[in-house]
Amino acid sequence: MQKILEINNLTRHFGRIRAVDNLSLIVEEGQIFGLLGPNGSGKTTTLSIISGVARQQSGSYSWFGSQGDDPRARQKIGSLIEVPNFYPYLSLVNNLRIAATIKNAPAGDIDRVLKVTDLYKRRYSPYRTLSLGMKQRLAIASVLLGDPQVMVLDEPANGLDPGGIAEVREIISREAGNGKTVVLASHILAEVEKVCTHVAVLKEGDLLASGRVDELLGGKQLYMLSASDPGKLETVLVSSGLVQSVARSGEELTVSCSDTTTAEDLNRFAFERGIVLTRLVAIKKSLESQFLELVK
Amino acid sequence: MRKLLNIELVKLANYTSFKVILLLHLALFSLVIFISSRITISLPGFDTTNFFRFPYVWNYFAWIASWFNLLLAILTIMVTGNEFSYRTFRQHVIDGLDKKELLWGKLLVIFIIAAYGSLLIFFSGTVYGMIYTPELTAGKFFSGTGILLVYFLQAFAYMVVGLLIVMMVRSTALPIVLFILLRFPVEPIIRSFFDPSLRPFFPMKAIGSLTPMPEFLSISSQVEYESAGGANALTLEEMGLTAPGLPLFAQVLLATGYIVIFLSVIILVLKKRDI
Repeated sequence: MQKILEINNLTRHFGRIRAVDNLSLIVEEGQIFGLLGPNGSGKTTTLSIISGVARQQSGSYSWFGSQGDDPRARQKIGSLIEVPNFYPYLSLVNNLRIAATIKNAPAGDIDRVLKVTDLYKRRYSPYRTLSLGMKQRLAIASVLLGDPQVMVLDEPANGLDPGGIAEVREIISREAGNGKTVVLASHILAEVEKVCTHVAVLKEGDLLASGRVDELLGGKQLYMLSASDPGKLETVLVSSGLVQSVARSGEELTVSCSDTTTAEDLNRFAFERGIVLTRLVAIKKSLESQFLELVK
Repeated sequence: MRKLLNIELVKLANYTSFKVILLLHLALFSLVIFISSRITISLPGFDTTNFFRFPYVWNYFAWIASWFNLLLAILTIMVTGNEFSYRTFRQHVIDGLDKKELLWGKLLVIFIIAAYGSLLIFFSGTVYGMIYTPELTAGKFFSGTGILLVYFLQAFAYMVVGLLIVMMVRSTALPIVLFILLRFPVEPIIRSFFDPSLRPFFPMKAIGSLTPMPEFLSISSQVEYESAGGANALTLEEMGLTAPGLPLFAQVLLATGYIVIFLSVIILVLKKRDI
């Protein structure tokens, strides 16, 4: 798999606030990569640095293998960082004309992206007359100009009503099909879970966890088990195929199972093997609990 | 470069305030030269229509045009300040412009505005010169047109000062106020603390004296235009009306030097700061 984006030990402090601290990530071709974290966790700062508008104090990043700040690389990326930025007095078409010129996208693409985002009827209206949701959609239209293979989206559903959120999500999913790479920052776990293939969890500039979404977020249930003979329980469970992993600390075993395995299954299984459980606790999905903890 | 020109033209062509101020500039300049051409001083030995004859008309119109350079600087500050308030400079970089290209784009705008000012002097000078010059020859027409280039440099330099302020302050209203205050009274006050021989080297002074006040007395007292030179008339400087200045080529060098310095500072600021 080709590396699209590589971030190495990226650091940016604002005075005493650590916005991004020693962050390293790799995004490969075809991934829908989620940056998950509460507000102020360093998502936007990270995206600003890799988009060339903010400077890092140390560390490096590279797009498509070319080191550092490369305007040509950015022209091939569709980016929406924070809020939509357009000229309020210019029409939608003229606003997109400017973006298309910078990105070397064909002028004919402007009509297409306006249709995709359902703004075609308003194409000659000044930008300032748009509603908040339309402004956000225009920003997405601008991202889609030139049909970029890589998209960087920062809270794309920000400020939208539920219908708008669904619409934006649908546009992203549709456009992200056929092998495109997307970096998506969000503070909404459900959004990342629904859209992304990979995720990195940030808090106060630190990387808490990263990996495949289905490994980190979905399809997993954790249980804590105890028995009078934990060694035997461990061997039995490992050979059973019922659990995906078993970790033992002292008398306690922490096992992770697929969503379909219930506490009842585990209890019955152990009892049938002649082991009586002294304790059986279901724990919430690992990342969700971790995430909720840090969002607090 | 063409890419930058295209995007700047889309921004300017649809920007009403820009067009209104440009029209205002055009109207004010035309009005002032028209009214001044109607004024006649009936003193024996003085003929004010001399100002409208070649070659004096070039210097006279360039000097009048320089009164309105403030409007041109305000235009520059407005269009650049907008980029910061709309956060479109930021978007340009995200979309794939190099930070330096933000500066080149605005320099193109400044070039266009300065060229407009110079052409305005050229066309109005041509019209008035044709009307007022007796026995018109090509030699008379072309002599003294060098001041058009000097005016271009002056307008360009003023706008670069405005650009420098707006790039540091990153808004629209404040840089306009700062620019006006710098011209008067901030720089004149600072200048007054220095030796008179050093005063012409200050940026606003150096740029401002590129288009000097015409030698009113010597020009208007030449009843016979053909006796050009005015050797027997006192200059404004000799009469103590204007401060001693530098020779023209030194002023051109000085203004060019300031432009280079200010642009370097802007590039440094762009590099060092987040957009």
